[in-house]
Amino acid sequence: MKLIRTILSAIFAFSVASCIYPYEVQESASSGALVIDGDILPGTTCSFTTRRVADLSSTSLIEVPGTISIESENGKRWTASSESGSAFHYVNLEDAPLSGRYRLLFTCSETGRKYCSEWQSVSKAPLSARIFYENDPRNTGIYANVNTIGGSSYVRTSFSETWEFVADYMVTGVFDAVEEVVQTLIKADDSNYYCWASANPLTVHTGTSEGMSDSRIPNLLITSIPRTDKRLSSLYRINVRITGISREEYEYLHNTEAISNTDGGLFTPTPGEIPGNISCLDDPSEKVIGFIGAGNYIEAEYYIHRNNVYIQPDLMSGLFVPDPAVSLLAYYNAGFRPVVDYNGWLWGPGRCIDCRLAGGSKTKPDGWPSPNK
Amino acid sequence: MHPRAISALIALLIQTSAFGQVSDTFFRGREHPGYSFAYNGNCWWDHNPEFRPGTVFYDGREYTGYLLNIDAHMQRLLVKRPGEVLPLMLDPSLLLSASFDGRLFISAKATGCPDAADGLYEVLCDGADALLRRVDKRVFRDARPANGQLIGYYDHAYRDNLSTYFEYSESFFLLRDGKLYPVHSRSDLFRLYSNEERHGIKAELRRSCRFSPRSEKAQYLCAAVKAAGKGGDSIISELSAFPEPAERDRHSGIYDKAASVQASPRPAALPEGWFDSASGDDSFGAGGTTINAIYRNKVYEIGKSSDAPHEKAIISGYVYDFSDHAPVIGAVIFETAGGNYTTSDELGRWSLEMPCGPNRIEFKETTMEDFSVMVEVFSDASINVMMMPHSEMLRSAMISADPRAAHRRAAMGVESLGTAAVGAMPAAFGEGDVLKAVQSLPGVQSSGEASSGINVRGGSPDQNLILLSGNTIYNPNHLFGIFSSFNPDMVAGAELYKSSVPAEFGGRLSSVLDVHTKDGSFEKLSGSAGIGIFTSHLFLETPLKKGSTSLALGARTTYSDWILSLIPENSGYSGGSAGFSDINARITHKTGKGAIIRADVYWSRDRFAFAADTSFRYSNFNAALSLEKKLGSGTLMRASSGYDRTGSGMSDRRDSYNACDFNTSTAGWFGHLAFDTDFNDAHRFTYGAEAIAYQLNPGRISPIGTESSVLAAKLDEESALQAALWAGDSWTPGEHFSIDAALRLSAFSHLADAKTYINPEVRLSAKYSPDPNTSFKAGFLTMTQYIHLISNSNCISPVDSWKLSDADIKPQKGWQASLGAYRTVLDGSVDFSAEGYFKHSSGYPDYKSGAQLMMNPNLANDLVPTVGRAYGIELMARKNSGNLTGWVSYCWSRSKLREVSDRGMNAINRGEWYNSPFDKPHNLNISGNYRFTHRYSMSLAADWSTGRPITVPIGHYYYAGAYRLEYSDRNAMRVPDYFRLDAAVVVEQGHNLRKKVHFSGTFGVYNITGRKNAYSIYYTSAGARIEGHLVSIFATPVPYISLNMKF
Repeated sequence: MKLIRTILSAIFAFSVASCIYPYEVQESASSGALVIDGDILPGTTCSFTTRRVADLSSTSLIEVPGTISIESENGKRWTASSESGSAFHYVNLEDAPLSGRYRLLFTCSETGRKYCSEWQSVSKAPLSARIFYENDPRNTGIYANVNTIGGSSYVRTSFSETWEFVADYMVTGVFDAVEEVVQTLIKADDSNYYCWASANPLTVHTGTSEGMSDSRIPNLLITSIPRTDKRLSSLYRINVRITGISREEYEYLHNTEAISNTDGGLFTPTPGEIPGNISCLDDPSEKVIGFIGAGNYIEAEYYIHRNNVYIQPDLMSGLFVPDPAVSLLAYYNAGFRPVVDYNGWLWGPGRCIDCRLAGGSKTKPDGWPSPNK
Repeated sequence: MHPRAISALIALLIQTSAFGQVSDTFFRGREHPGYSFAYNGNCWWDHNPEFRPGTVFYDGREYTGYLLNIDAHMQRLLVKRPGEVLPLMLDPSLLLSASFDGRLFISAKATGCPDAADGLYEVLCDGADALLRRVDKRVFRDARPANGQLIGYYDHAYRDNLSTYFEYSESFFLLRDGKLYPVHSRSDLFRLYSNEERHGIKAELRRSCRFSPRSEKAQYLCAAVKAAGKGGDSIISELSAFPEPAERDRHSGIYDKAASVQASPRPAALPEGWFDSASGDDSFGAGGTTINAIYRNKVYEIGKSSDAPHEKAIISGYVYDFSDHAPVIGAVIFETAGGNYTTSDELGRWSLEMPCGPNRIEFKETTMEDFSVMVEVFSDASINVMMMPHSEMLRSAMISADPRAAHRRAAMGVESLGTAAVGAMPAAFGEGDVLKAVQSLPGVQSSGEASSGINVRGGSPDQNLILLSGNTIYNPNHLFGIFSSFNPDMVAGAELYKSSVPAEFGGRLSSVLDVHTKDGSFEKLSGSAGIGIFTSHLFLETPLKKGSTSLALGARTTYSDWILSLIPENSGYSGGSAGFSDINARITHKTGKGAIIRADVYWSRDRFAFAADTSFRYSNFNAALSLEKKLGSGTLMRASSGYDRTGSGMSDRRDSYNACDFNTSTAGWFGHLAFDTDFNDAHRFTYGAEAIAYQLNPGRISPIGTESSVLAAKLDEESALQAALWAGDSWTPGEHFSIDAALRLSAFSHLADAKTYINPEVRLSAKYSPDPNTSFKAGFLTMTQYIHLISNSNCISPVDSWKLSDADIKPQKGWQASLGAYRTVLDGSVDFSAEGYFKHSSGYPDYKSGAQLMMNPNLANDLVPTVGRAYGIELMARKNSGNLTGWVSYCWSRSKLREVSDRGMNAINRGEWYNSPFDKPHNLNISGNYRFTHRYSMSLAADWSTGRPITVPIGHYYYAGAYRLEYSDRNAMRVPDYFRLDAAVVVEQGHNLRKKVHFSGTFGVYNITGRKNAYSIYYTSAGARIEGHLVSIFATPVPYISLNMKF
């Protein structure tokens, strides 16, 4: 029976286990359509980008310079400040009221064509939002989620993150380049042990309270972090911006996300684009990609301490005993440092003891709650 | 040769066929190749079932004192001795004339005319000229194989095999001056005479004839012939002057001669001395050296009882196939007293030593019905037997039976599949499957690898009406489509109508797949069981009341969970589970009044999960009660009523806040009443009515657990009534032409929307057949579909739901015109066919990009109506008989859709024509089976087709924080071409009679070449880099083993 089971297992595993294979992308010319990305956010300065669709083989973005302005229903217009020839546009809408409707106007510098989005009312942001984290099912990482209550039934989220992290080891010995020996310190030096870093991943997620018993949007995923990630090595802060959006924008973003990350599964819907809300005034048949919505937002912040979250990777990996045939100075000049005295000094890359070499900064963010320096 | 033994042999042939019994006019078993008769509801005999004394002129000799009778077609004369029960059938080639009951029959040979047809002519009158009457058999109508519903026939083995049956018509001939002239009317007759003679005949008729030339045609013509030949000598009397055969038969009686003739269809197959070994002893079955065993309940004395007592004797003999008299090779002969056994050789010859005294000899062979004979052995002797083909083999003959049947019917685009044809094809994991077999036919394509969904002539899967014994199967898949819902053990056969759809079927646009469940055995308990990699199955059939009530029960289940648990974690299927179970049951009851009542139940349940927290399920439940009864005046009534339901659901437990359960269901009560009336020779009417009451639950979602924030919601249930009336006529105006015409009037009313649609539908087909091997056909039909499967995924998903037509979603309508040419060559063993078609459809609801189909209360807003067109040419060559059977088919076809809406540039592909998801221009299928012996066979199947259309990325851009993909027009690209080669070796059950259980097995390899056929292709963005991925279900050769046992 065991033999039969083994044979059958082998047969099945042989035939099914490797069912997804790389497939060479079929080269085909893209439409080169204009893409306008951004949202109208009254009460703040909002940003827009204007680019074109690139061929699949292209790894660079095609920027489209031009002039963007935001127009309110009552005729008031806010024009973007953008560098000449740039695809980045910033519009100061701090004096724009939340009531009323807005639209975006764009004039392409290259073609002179004018583009316009549909009028959009300002979608309300949630009344409150709470960030929390939970372990992923395999317990190899954490999910940072947000719960929202109130406001629009549809939201989009973006986030920024800041984290305090540590080098693998505190400095307990220094290399004397003159004597070419390692001097053991009486007290460990932590001056380059703590660092800070931050990122704006730009990842956008969408959520809806449609189908829920109240206006809550529960468990809206913001990001996931492996437990061994340096970001969790000391203190991690995530700042989430939750913007109210319209149902149409939600569907557009949701579909755009879905068709760009299909899994090819048995029941995966066939991908297909849905039209945005931007059109070319000079040629209505021209394809334009993007949905310009209008909304306001709230922000929520959350800290995650390393306790019960961080799993320190095997620090010994990458450390080595210097080859006696090679001078320690040569190692030092190559960027290696003495890391830990383990019946003799083990050397490793400088980033093991200097968090700055691991991408960190010694500039502590304002209001950072930990006492570390 | 013992004459009574020989007569018994012949009697076996007759008795087994049951036409020796007056009370039972049905033929049991396959039609004898040398003898074709028909049953159309009348008594098999001509006029009178009673045997009457008469005289036979046979093989140059005259026999008197026998009892005679003749069949309704006057093709066979039967004789028996006074006091005997069983008659003997005479060879017409040696029969010259017979007279009894005041009637005289002459053979074609006796007419002396070289152009006379085979069989017998009745001499109505004779003089200088003779008026002869002949009964011609011709195709009465095409029966529907396997289900037998149109036949009203009560023996399941017969039904399974029957493909055509016949009726007879009489015609008249004038035998004059050594020539035979057909006489259809009196004017035909008069034209054969000179003016002077004609005037004389007419005058005589006016004077003495009291018969009507129309209603009493035979008597009138006879009077005319008599008037013409007044005073002449009888030409029939010349029969006695026929020369004697050069070599007179040395046997004493007609029985001996007839028996030897019986072997004539395959004389080479019969051993020399088969009949000559008779001892000449007149005592029936006793004391001879050779007997031909007939009865199961009779004790045959073999050897000479007068010999000195022996301890042992050597008994030898031959085993022949009743159907064609071929020797049965490899039959196991087992004698129970001594426990000895042997097998027959290539001549069907066997020899076995056994103890003298009472014994029972059993004969078994996989393709034959078991046969045993009780004997009293005295000394060395011979015993010969004829075995009946096994019922399974009868079914297996379906696809090859009557290869010319297609030329006789007007219907085109009809494909019939028997269980053997299905079983002979290699299939994934060793289980023969009706839907897989259907997919190998021209014009039929798979929805995807490992999918049971079918696309017929460019139509969507939901445009096929799939019936299981009258019940609608809404979801015909098991286990991701690897298996279909049809348990092979329970399937008697299937027909696919893709062009000429009978008027009684409707409600779908593309095709009708009618799968028939088999009746259980009325005679004995039997069954089978099997085990494969994924599934095991059990089948039982038993009489509940012997001879009248039977039960057939089939069940399958899976044990695939443990296999899925072995899949590596990185496969993406880790933690998954999948399985299904289904049960079929049928109770069949034959009433004493010639009706058949059937109760059918089908239940199935599927479950699967790709991860531990999200599970899918779907189920089918179907039940029906049907009545089939032959009414008077050649009308067959079929009535059925039942309930069909399919349900599906999904449970999502990924997190407690969003935990929810979703389900949807489609159900319907139906009633179906159909009549087939044989009006006369040329017309057969079909008419009937049906009604379906639909009840749909489009979707219901409910929270799981107290922490779930999911709001319980339910879309409004949909109810509708669908009804149809139809009437049609199959008209055969002549030998070469036939026309089927029918009108179907369908009505549909959505109750909530108070919206009613009424649509007439037309079904037309016509045939011209210049000869029995050639036909040309044309067909036209219109169809309407009121229920739609809404899907936007690669294959039918459990969460796809059916949607009824309502005020917003109009019915799908379509018409199809087709032409075909068919040719059968090599004595019916090879068919060629070519069919072309053009289809037009409207109202097919395609989805908008990004459509939300689940729990969408405004589903119509996410759907768009389309018009479609499909056209193609289907070529097929099929070998029907011999050791090598199979077919090669090629299909070129296109299928396109176009959105018809006011969405302007937002319309799918801007409102231009686009490839439907089912557009595969080229498709080549090769399926072959080679039978090495009765036990061993090998099958090979190859399938190549153009890749299906897909929508793929053509560009990328940065938007909303990530790289996004720009897609091509819908279905503008294709996946790579599909190719698969499968092979299987089938080992049938063995012959060891000591075992109660017989084992068989299938060993095969699916996708021998290991080609990575694309199930789907998708792309992901890795920053600015785009990665393509190909999903293949069976990307390597998949060996499989399936073991079966029969008891």
